[in-house]
Amino acid sequence: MVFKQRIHDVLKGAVERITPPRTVSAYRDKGVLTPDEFVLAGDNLVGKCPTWSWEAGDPNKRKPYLPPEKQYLITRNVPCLRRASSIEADYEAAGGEVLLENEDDNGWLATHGKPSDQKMDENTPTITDGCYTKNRAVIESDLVKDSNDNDDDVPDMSDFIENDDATIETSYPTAQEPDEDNILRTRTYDVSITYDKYYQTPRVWLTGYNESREPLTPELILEDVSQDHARKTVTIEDHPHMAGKHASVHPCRHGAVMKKIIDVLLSRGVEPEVDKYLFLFLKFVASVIPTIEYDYTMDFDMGS
Amino acid sequence: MMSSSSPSLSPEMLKFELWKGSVKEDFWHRLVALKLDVYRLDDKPLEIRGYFAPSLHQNYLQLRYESFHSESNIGSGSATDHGIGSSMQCSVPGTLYNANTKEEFAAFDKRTLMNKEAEKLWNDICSSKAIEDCTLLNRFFVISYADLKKWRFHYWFAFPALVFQPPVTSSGFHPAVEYFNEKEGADVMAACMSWRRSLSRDKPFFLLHMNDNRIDARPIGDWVDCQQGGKVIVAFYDPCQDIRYPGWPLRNLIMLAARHWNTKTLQVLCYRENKGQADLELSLVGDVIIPEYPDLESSSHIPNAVGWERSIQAKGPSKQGPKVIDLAASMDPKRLAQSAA
Repeated sequence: MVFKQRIHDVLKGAVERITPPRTVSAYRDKGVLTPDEFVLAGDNLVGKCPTWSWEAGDPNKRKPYLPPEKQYLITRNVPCLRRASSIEADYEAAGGEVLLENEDDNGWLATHGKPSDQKMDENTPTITDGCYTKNRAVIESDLVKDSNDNDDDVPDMSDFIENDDATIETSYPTAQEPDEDNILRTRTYDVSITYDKYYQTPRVWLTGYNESREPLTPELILEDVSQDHARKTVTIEDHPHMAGKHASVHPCRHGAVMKKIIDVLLSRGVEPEVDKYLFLFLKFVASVIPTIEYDYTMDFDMGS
Repeated sequence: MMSSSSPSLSPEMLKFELWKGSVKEDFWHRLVALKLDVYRLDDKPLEIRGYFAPSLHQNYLQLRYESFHSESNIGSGSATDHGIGSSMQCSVPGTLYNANTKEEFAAFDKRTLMNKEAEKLWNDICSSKAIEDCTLLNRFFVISYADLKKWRFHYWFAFPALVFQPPVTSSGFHPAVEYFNEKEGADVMAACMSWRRSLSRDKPFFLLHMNDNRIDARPIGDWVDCQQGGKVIVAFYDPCQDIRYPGWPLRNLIMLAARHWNTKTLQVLCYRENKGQADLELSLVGDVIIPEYPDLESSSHIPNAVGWERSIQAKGPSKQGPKVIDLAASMDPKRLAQSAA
């Protein structure tokens, strides 16, 4: 299964190398973007939401079809107060309504709730199965790490003590944490959006930190992904611009889902301007990562 | 023009919340690459940069790939300014002392390293360099040891802050929303946001000058000018989130004020944001009372500095000690091969 995934990766890489980036706009017909449209939509997101910004990233990993200083979008340290896996019951009961804040419109909800998930399972068995197995491997290797863990190699520096009365000893998350300071310590995420040349859509990546701002392993990140999507649409892969393994919402169905959203808007007489693409896209992504509170707020006329 | 003053409590020693550090995984990937390709056994201190925003959940000083900004002469392409100043993040100058062995790491002379930083800080304050470039008031350094056999990284942050002897006092810090009336609050927010959004976003200390019903944000170098009329509040990007205490960067700012500004009291705004917007419920206002410091007249008397990070991972009651992160899962070629097989 993983072998199939590898073949897919190699194929995807080869196709990306030999095919030129899309130049003709097709967001209305196919729900996909050209790199220029991605930049346009990204500029709009950065302009409207100050928490988002463009990044240049590693110069060695630069994509020639994007401006050097606009390689990907990022919003940093977004709080994630609850585990998506733990609110699954609420989530199931509520369906997509909670996520879209648009309760009186079932037609809209139906376009990108369960139906697209089910299709995804049918249409992309290779990726689904491959990623599942890959994650199993990650779990196993984590267990190996834990059993080998020992403190022997941690240098003992407890002899050093610095005293200063004016220093507030910052409280750290502990089992019995006194919450006298009313500060909510929570996991946070860096959410980044890259342009996927193969699928011609934006792609979302998650970099997680625990309550002490130490990196989360991919396995723990999956707790913050809707369980419908964990290990299926959300996979652990190499980020195109950053080192290390990151969780990513696989873009294989993004174009189709975006096309449906755009069709609904068109049927309501709303012209879906391409620079608003990322706002729509992020609303859709919120159904995959419901508890990560990134900013995609914008007065957007859904035509309801 | 201010509304009511805060309740008159007797001044107490002012306490500051210590900064915290966080390292993104790609920082270590970059260090390993630099170590293997460029530095090898050379363990000279490296100039790096840390990043923070005075925002809820962003209070940790973070090291990431771009932290090796000045060291990015390897690889292709110019790395000038990549990532710097973006996403409303401020960069902070720092130093990385990376040891080649566990023994060298354990043997770092922590007192001496801290004293060295105190000297840098004090020189920058005395020479007024820190007034021209206030980013120099926020400093940090990290001692580390990268175990490339086990892919474990030991590290310990320090955020040097000069110590007042005797301490400065305050009758307390309170949420800014209680301090300003509605119009002032709106004007203060607008002035701060325009400072943040301008090219000055990397200037984490500034003045709010209130004159003729106007509130302007100005560089700290304008202190004397601002004394000509109106009222001045000293503001700083505060990485702390506690609504009882100001954050760490205020310490060095007060030291600069004590040395240069000939003032007994300082009105301070701890500027904090939520979701990219100024937040006056999180931001604090307070008066700082600065005692006489005859010692500060002389540049040769270097104050002490403190600021080693506390950590949940550290042993002992003081919680002072290094942290460790295991990145074998994403770095060890063997493990990577296993999980891909």
